Amino acid sequence: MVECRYYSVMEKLASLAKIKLSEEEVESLCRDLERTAEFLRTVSEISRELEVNPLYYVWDQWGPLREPGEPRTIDIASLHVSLKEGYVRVPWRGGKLEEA
Amino acid sequence: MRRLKQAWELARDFREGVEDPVEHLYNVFEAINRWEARVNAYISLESPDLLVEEVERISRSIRVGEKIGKLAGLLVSVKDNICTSFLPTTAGSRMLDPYTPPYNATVVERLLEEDAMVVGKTNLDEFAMGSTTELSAFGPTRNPWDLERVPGGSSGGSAASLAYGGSDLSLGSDTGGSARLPAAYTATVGLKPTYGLVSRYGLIPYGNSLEQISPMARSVRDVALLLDVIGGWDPLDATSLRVDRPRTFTVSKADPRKVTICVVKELSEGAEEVIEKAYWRILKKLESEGVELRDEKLPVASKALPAYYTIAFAEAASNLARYDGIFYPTKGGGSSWEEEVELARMKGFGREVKKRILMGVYALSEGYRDEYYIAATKVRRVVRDEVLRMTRSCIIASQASPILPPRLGERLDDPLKLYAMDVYTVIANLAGVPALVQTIEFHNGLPIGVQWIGKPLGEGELVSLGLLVEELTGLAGVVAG
Repeated sequence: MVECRYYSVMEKLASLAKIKLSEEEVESLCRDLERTAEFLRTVSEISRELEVNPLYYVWDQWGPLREPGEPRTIDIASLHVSLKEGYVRVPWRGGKLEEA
Repeated sequence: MRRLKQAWELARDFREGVEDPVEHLYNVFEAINRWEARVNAYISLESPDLLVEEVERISRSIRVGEKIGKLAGLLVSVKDNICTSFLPTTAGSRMLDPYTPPYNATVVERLLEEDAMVVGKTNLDEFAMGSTTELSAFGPTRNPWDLERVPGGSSGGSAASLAYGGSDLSLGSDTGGSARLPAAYTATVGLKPTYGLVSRYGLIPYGNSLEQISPMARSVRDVALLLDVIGGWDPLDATSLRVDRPRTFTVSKADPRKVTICVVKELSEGAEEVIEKAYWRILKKLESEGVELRDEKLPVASKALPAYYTIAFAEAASNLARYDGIFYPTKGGGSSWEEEVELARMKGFGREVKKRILMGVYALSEGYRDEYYIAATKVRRVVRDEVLRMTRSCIIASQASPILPPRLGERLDDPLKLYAMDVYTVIANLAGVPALVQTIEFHNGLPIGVQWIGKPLGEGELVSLGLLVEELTGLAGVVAG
């Protein structure tokens, strides 16, 4: 076990992020994570005093990104798809397939 | 100091028959052959035979008086996180090696429509996550002005290719300064456009609320030429603004008596002494020409860097979830789906990418979300509002980097030292406004840059001021060696 307060947090994060880490990576990343988390937390100190809403899209004052269009209906019979064991096989759109 | 013709001058001379584009192509390839083994600016290069064929076609068209595009005969390098269907696109990651997208990014389509030739795909920090171009799976890029130093990042390959004459123009991307920091370190020019002005369709995403594909070149006029080609509304990008193609190439040099520059205290201090002195020298020079300097404050600037990184990490965690060992080249070799995904991500991602994904998951997770992600988005609103208020009446001046180009490895041991390099550049990404970095001086053979931040869609004003500054410094078109 490495000496790092974030060890158990990191194990959980790695599991959520679906990344397997080597022992070596665990040790060095844990220290980095601890330092970085402390640095990022400085934002929360100031934000408690800010009486504003979060900003997710920088031009929110210019309206929504794109007006939603009419919902499209698709005739399933017109699609050239095959069903196999409950899965839909879709056409391959790029890259070389290692196996068919 | 060695200088090359600016790209717009070359394009004009090709059209007028003064220069031969075939000869120019050979000159660029000669520069690539001379420098590339030492610099490593490119991940992949287009076949010289194909380019020769293309340039001969352009040359014929010119001779017979056929209509040619604005960029005919010019060689453009493209950052390797921008999709091309004719060259691999790796984003500097093992995860995407070898991956050739089935389509071109909108910006690439627009280059080709104007008869540009894509000479190759340039190196970058993996998935554009870095400030030095040392964190690429394909090895570091070195700075042509001093091969022991980094060219900045993450668009370091693009900047380096320009700095040694291995391309005429380049496309980078800028999430928190990734086009502008390399510009400051390589005596080139980088322009981060207004968020939404340039289509992101075909840009491999990292922090999609922050990033923009960005023109890079060896002069301000060249950056404007490239922006006019790639900018404007694209229906394939939901965040694209419904605006016409920009027209910045034809703007005139600013009349200094009509320019007001806001000198923001927090963006004008904290850099190395030589940078600070160069910064004040150019401001005083501009003032003596008739520019009005106005003092301003941006108290929230001290929190911009952690706010930026929180948002970028959160978006990275979400964007990079798609790399699951199934759709892209790197496979895990696991016996179950869970194991396959975990192993593919273990093999395919580098250390910095893994760290940013973990931090992003942390910032978004139940219990920490308010403290990190929501807090950062609130700070972002304050930054955005303050920058919009200021840029209504002035162009903001700022240092471009707190340090001169560091030596390789110098900033890698401590993540916070690496992130601190972006302290002046992240503001424009948080606020969505355009920002231009250009060189103002050299110190011991190393360039020093300055940053100008403008109002939304105010690229023309930045170009105009940039032209004035370029006239004062005389540094347009300089190259290393």
